[in-house]
Formats: sequence, structure tokens, C-alpha cells
Amino acid sequence: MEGDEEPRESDRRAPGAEEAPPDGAGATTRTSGLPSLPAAGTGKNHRILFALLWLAVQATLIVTAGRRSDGAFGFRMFNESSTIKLALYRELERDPGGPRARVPVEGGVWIARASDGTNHRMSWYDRVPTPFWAFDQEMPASYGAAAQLERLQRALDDLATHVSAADDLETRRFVLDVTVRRNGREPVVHQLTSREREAWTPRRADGAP
Amino acid sequence: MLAALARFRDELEDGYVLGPVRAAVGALLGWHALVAAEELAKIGYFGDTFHVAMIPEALVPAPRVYAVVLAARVCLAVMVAIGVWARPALAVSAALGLWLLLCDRNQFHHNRYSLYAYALLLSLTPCDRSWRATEPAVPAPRLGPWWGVRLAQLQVSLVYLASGGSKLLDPDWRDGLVLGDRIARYAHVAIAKGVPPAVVDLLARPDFASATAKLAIMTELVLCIALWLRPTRVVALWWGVWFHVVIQATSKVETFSVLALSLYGVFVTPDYRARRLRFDPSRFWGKLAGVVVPALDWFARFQVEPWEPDDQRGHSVVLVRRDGERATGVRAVAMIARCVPLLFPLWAPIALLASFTRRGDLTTRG
Repeated sequence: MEGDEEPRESDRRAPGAEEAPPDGAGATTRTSGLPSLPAAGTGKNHRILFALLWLAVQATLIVTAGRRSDGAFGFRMFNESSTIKLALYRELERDPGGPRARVPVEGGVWIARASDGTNHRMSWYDRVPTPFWAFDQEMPASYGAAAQLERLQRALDDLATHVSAADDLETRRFVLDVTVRRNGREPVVHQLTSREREAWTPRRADGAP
Repeated sequence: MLAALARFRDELEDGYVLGPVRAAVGALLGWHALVAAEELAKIGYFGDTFHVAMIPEALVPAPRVYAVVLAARVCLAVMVAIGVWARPALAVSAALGLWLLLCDRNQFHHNRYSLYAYALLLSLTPCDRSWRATEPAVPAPRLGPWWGVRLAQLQVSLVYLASGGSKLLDPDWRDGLVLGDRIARYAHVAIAKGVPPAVVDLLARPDFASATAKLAIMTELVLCIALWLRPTRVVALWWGVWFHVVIQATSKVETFSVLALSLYGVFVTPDYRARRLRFDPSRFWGKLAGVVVPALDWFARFQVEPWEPDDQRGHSVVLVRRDGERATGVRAVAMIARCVPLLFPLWAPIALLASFTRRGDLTTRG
């Protein structure tokens, strides 16, 4: 094997070969022949302060990551292998104060009676664009089931807030059934409900809310 | 303690090795900016639809401002990558990236946050002394303050510690439930890619998944320490490279693995051309080494020069290590693989093979 042999004399005549650093010294040699930046000193203590501050902030964010549902800024990679499956419903109230009917919303799209008397086509995706969630299919719970439940609750409230009465006079509130399978365990259904839609808030005769 | 702090504050090193790290971070910054721009074009402005701001809504940019910020991020990323006003560009890129991250929690990803944190830390280092497209010659002074690099190294370790620590404290992770379920759910993808079903079945077995989970946790916790120790650093880097390659191949992690591998560059010993490689241009292997090594020697570990061919029998390549010892044949190949990033994944098996030669050793010296 070539590696077993000593380098021969012809190898040693390589240009610059005689410049080999002394044994043992080369491992820590730095190219110090170049001009250096102005020498540091006590005037550079801001470096230490910045480093300590940086490390303190990072440590705090990491230690407190458990308090945030998505563990943001805590570097908790692949924290779960959970999945979620979403089913969206509308709660309708034909008569104020009457019983409510629960109507499934297929694929996040529904048609509702609008204030002008016509039917308007509405979609979850008008407010909550892809690629965050899809309906009626199992998908990975990115950043964990708790994070997804919290974000879905916010999304549901956002939807209820932004679907105007001009487009939908029927829906009282939205309901989302979230089937969570946490790390391969048996599925558990969480029911999320949106806030009541403002368009349905009873008003006094003088028009004040 | 005070002496260590003073050393941290005053340390000066050769900044050449940071050039490739900066270029890679610049490319990643650009990639993320372009992805955001594509989403703006396809989906629209995020502020017009459901978003979860972590800062007051008044600080969320208006649509036009957002578009301008995205354009600025692309320009800044190019500046970082090619080394034009690289350090200010890194700092501003980091600030803009973090700002937009805080504007919508739905767009938060660990790898994006890590990228902006590393970009900020890299802006504190002498990362602008090499890999400059507009000024190819290495400018002087090349030495610069190293405290930012130490901070970036600490950040790498913190990420491993946080990730490994959180998994260690999670019984589902420790017992392999998380990993086993992931493997089971993505089994069809693996089989479609050509992995034998028997292998997938084996990996998804609870006992095997449990063992793999413990290995993953141990890897992260060991890496955060082993990267700092000279005797273990090369082995840790090699193991870490394969760890991230496997993650990238089996999971959707955006640019997480590429970022982690790029940041391994901050652990490279800053020894500009401290090793010498002499090659015989009249021989095939010598000629090949004379072309390939300079092209792939991104950290400038080798001073590569030919020697005059003669009629005596010799070697195609002779490598003079940092300690002055000469290496030829498979030992030279092992040294080249150790120092050349693209060949580094092959280093351990080659070094193991080289250890069986008469003068071979399994240490990480030289």
C-alpha cells in the first residue's frame, strides 16, 4: 500500500518542502504575519456584555419555551409526531333565540343567504389561506397538537369576525371538530367554537349595541 | 474566569474560514426571501388574511412596505453571499427577518429563527475577509476579533442542548413513541423511494424506534460538548454531518440541515494554508489532486503546488501536515477528505482504512 512507504527523495525536493514547520509547533500555528486589527483591550468590554446578554436571552427563551404552545424560540425540533383532522361546521339560527342547527361545511366552502337576499359563496380559505390547513384529511400537527389547537381557535375567531353580515346572515358561529392523534395514540376529538358573530348581536331599538 | 473572559474579548484569528459560512448563510437568506416573495405573489399579503402577530399590530408592515422589505432582503442576501458590505448586510437581514417573523407566528419556524440569529452573530465576525466576488484577492488584514465566532459556536451548542434536552425530558420521545410513529406514518414514502419494506418494518418496531430515539437524543447532547474539544471535534463534526443528512433525507425541515451544516464552518480551525500539498503533474492522480483540491478547498487549508517531475520513482501526492509529518497514499487521501468539505462525509471510513497502514493512526491530529 502506498501509504506504508516513506516519501522518497524526489518527493522531498518539492518546492517549499524545506519550509515545514517544526514538529509539534504546526498544530497551533496561526498565520500571524498579516497586519491585525487594532488591539483589543478594556475598551472592548461591550463584547462581554453583549455576549452575556445574548446568552441570557437565549437561555430564558429556551427555558420558557414550554409556556408557549408552539415552543417558539425554544429549538424544540420534532417535538411531537401528532396528527390532526379537521371538520368545520356552521351553527345556524333561523329564528333569534330559537334552536340552532349544525351544518357541515364541506371542504371549507359554504353558501349562505346574504343581506341583499341572494346566496353568497363563502370559503374558509378567503381568510385562512393555504398552506396551513386542509379539511377532512389527516395531516401532521406542525409544532405539536397544542400549538395547532391554539392557532385553530384563533383562526376560527378570525373567520367569525371577518365574515360580514352582507355576505352571510345565517351563521351564528363556527364550530371545528379537531381529531387529534398524539404520537400515535388513540384519537381524541376537541371541539373548538368561534366567538358569536357580531352581525347576530341583538340590537336595541335605538340602534345602540 | 476573568482571564477566560479577557481571552474571549481579545482573541484574534484568521477570518478566511468564515467566508464560505457567510456565503452559505447569504444563500439561505436569499432562498427564504424568495420563498416569501413567491408567497406574496401567489397567496397575497399575509396581513390581509389571518395572521398572529407577536408584536403590536401597528408594527406590522403595510402591503407596499412589506413588498419593499422583501425586495431589500433579496438584495441584502446577494450582498452577503458575494461579500459586498457583507457584515452590515448580515445585520440588517437578520433584523428584517426577525421583524417579519414576529409579525406572523404562523410563519415561525425554528430554522428561520436560527438563520436570523446566526446571521446577526456572523455580522460580528471577520467573515468579510474572503469569498468576495468583487475582490477575489484576499484582502488584509485577514485577522479579526473572534468573539462573535465563539458566540456563534455557543449558539450551535445551545440549539443542540435545547433540542436534545427537551427530547430527553419528554417520555414519549425517550421511549421512541414519537420516532416510531413518524417512521410508521412515512413508511409508504420510504418504500416508494426504494427502501426495502423489511427495513422500514424493522425501523418502526417499538424496540428499534426506542433505541434510535435514544441515539438521536444522545447525538444532540454529545455534539453540544464534543464540538468544543479538539480531540473529539472532527469525529463530532463527521457524525453531525451524517445526522443532519439523514434528517434532511427523511423529514421536511426546510433549510434546517443545510443551515446546521453551514454553521459547522465556525468550528473549523482558522489555519490558513497550514498544510502543504505537493503533486506530480505528470501523473494522473497528481494532476487530479492539483485540480480538485484547490477547487474544493473552500476553507483554504492547503497550499497546493506542483513539483518538477523527474525520472525517479515517487508519489503522485505528498501532503505535509500541520505538525510537519508527511502523508502519502491513503493517509494523504484521508487528510484531504478531512479538510475538504464536500469529501468530509467520507473521512471516517478512509481514516479507518488509513489506520491500517504502517504509519497510520486513528487520532485526529494534523
